[in-house]
Amino acid sequence: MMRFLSQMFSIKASEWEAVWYFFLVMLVFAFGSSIARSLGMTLLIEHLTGAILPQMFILIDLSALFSLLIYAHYTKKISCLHILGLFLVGGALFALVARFLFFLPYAWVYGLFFVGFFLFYVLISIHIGSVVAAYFNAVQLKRVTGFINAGLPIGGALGGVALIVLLTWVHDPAWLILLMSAAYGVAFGLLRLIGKKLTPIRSLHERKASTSNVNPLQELQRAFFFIINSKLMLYMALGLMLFVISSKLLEYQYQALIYPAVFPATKQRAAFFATYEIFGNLTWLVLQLFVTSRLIIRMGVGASNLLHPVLMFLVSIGLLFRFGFVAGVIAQFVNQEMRGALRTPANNLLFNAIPPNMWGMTKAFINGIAFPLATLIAGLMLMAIKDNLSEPAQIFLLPLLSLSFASAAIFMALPQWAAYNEGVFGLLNRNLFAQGSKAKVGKLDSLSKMVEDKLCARDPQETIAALEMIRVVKLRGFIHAVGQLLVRSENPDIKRHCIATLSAMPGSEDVSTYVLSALKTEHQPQMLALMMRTLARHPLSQEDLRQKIEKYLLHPSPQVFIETFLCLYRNPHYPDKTTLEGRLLIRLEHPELPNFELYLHALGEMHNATYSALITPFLDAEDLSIRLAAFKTHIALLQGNLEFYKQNFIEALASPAKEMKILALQALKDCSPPDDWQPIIQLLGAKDRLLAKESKELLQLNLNSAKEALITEVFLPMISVDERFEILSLVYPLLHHEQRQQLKEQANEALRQFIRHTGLLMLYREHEAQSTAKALVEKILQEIADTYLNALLTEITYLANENREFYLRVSRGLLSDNKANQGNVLEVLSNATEKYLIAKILYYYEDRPSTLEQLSEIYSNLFGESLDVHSQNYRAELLKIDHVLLKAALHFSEQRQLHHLHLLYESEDVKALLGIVH
Amino acid sequence: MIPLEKIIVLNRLPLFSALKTEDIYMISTIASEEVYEDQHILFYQGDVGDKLFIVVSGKVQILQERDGKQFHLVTVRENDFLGELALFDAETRTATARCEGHCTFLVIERNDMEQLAHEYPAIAFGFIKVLIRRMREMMKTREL
Repeated sequence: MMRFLSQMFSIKASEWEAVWYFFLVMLVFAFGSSIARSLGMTLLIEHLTGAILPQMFILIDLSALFSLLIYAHYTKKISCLHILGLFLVGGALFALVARFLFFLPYAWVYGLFFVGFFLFYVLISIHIGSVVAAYFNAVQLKRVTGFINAGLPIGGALGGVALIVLLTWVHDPAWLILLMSAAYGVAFGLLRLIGKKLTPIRSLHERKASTSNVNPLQELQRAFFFIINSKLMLYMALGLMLFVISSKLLEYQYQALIYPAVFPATKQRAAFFATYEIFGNLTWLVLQLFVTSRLIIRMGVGASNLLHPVLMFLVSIGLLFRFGFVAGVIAQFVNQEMRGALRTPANNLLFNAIPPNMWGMTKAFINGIAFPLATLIAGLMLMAIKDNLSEPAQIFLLPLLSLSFASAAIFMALPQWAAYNEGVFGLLNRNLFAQGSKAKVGKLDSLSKMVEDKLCARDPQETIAALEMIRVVKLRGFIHAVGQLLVRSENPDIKRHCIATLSAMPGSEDVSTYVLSALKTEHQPQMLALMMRTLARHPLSQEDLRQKIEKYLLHPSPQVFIETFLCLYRNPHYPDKTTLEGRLLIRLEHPELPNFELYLHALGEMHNATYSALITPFLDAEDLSIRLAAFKTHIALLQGNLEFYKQNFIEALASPAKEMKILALQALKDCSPPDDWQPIIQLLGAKDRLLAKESKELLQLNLNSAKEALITEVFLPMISVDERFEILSLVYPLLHHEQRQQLKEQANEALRQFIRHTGLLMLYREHEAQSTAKALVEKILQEIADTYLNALLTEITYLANENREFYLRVSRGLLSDNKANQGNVLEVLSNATEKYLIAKILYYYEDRPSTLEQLSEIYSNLFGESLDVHSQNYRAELLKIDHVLLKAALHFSEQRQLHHLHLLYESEDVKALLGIVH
Repeated sequence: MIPLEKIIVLNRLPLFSALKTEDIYMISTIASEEVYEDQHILFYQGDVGDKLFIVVSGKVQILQERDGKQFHLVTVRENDFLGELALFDAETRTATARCEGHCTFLVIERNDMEQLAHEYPAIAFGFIKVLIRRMREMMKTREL
């Protein structure tokens, strides 16, 4: 039975429990509300006449407005389920009290009940969608929303039937109000069950109690600014207003102009309405159950929201050209039934792209402000038309107006579609990446004032923060303040930051003056070196160079000597550079000197190829820092004439030192393309991003030559995810159709391997006895599975013409433990242009298999073959995986259990990990 | 201790468990096994910290001297560690650590860790994430 229902409604077995609960809540709520609505209207008209209706509607709107303000405030503090429970209990108690008020001899109690009931009805209707959304992720919601919402028309119809039957038995209809109380009570009971049995995957309220005391009006102000700043919310609010106006215009046409003309007698009209209600509700139910979800899943949330405005546009055309009964009935159907069956569920799904903690506030704003405002505009327009135009003129103008507003609604739905996709993507970013908000910098004047104050602060940390602010923001006008601080401060941290700040300022004699002044009293070698480095960037006179700087060449610290040397050597006004070079060359004859690499570095500054012979002995030095410095200097001295040494640079790529590799890659940019690109391509997957970046730049520079090697590499099965990603970033646009198909097949294989390794992990976890290596093996298997998943996502990223940001968000989202994040990822993926692979991922993740049986079923459905891993063969299958650490861990645990090792065919690396060889 | 056992021990520690296995393997290459007898002092209060000790077997008493008296703060047991901050700064030890019974440790020196982090920044980044998580948990515990 459940399988049949699952197939019919595309709802997964694991989702049915929650779906049934919410369906029943909807049904019971609609049952009670239907009875209360009919009785409320009947009693109101009986005791207060129909003339009171406009005032009643105003009272309902006003009370809803104020209640929604309070609602918006508390949705952030109280869980959504508790709020709904509060509304239902409130409604039930209100109906009980109303029943006893009806004993009083006052007619106003009926008005009070009418307004009160509608207030609860509006609040529950607005909030109930948020509660459902909290228990499903974005993709699940698209599937389940149709079935759950079907509870509304079914409950409404059952309520109507129950009322008709009971009215023949109960003498005083006012007693039947108690049915509303009972129905709301049952709905509350169901909520308690939901609270106990289900766990929400999205939280609407803030878990940590807010410490700020924001009143409801400020809350509303925030909602306004949120809506203004959120494209999606802005389009949603404007779209709702356009819908309400065109809906009211259509309603007036069939209710006020068409039906009274076709059915002049009240009885005839009532009979027509009764018939229409039966068929209308039945069609709504059928659409809700069998069309809504399928349509939303197939078209996506953004596109589905385009459908209702299009339908309104079409019926407006119908009314414009064929104003009459048929057009009127269709208009009513689109306006009423299609609104419930299509617009409301599709529109509610747009909230998936909004942070859940903003749902209450924004819903309150949209329903409490935008909706009444649109009603007011439509009402004023209708009053003006009715009072000033003849009926034939109205018959022409009203369809034209509804057509215009429907067109505007279509145009609004298009950017809303794009904003929704951006919003879901952005939400993923917010959840996974943006933990802190961007710092806001106020006006520059106030910032400068604050920095001035902080420079004189007693706390050194505040002063340092101010100096950093000047350096980072590049605030002007602080040279003197910072320079004076440098001269007078004795705190080394402050002095260091002063120098860094002055160093970042544009060349100025003022900077030189302050640094030279500070130089006089400074004794710390590190500080002196920093000062020299700063002076090298600012103008100095020949006199300063000779009298104030040259003497530091005699300083015992190598750092001070080198920085002084460089300061003098780089200065165009320094006259005696030959002597200066001599001083350096003397030191280079003594490799035993401390920090010898510094002298090598300085030699590179001379860019004199004749000195390269001095470097050669140090290229093979044992000390890595000296070897590195020699290598760097060697490249600098060759001044671009590197071709002769190309092979040396390629050999340096195998060096254990990453700096050496980076230098080699940089040097290779000035050489002709190498014959073998393999060592360079492999560096694309280096853990160090700088190394990968240099390698990529070199490949980019020689793309024509490296293209074939890159394409060959990308189709190898076991390259790292990073390497594959970077290769594709270089060559994907150059791949022809067959190669892209091959890439798709490779991605398909990655998914197959991902599921297979997940199965092996499940089997290992379940059947392997506890051992010291078990946790390690599980971790390795999980990592292998994740690697396959990332390989698949990498290829999807390129096949869908997306970028690195897309990949990072989707990858992190799927690998996170948060179900809401995973749901958002699936929604983002379902909006991407690559469909074949994404459909498979969605199929897997929507089922989220937790047992091997479920996994096997998914595997055979996806790949048309059996998974073929089971408790008898999983260990042998694990040993077939080409992973050194995994094999070693498996052998280790086997040894611990069986006291022997089978390592005959294992590699030396596996044996080394097991301590067999070294 | 064979190389794989080092990896298993490191993987068990909350300090490294969030790192990838290949990163743990790299760390295992700089971790050395050290064995001490009962009452051996690993470090004294006031010493400059430069090593992380992972207790593979045995117990370590952590003692602090205040006003001339020695107080027992805590006992560190198997699969726990001491001195993790020493991997990143050279502050002095705030307590003395003394072996209780025969103890085996895996020891990681700051210089080795710095060099490894320099070559493989992802390891340093992963390690920092774990340290921050630990600090957050400690702060939460304090709030409670």
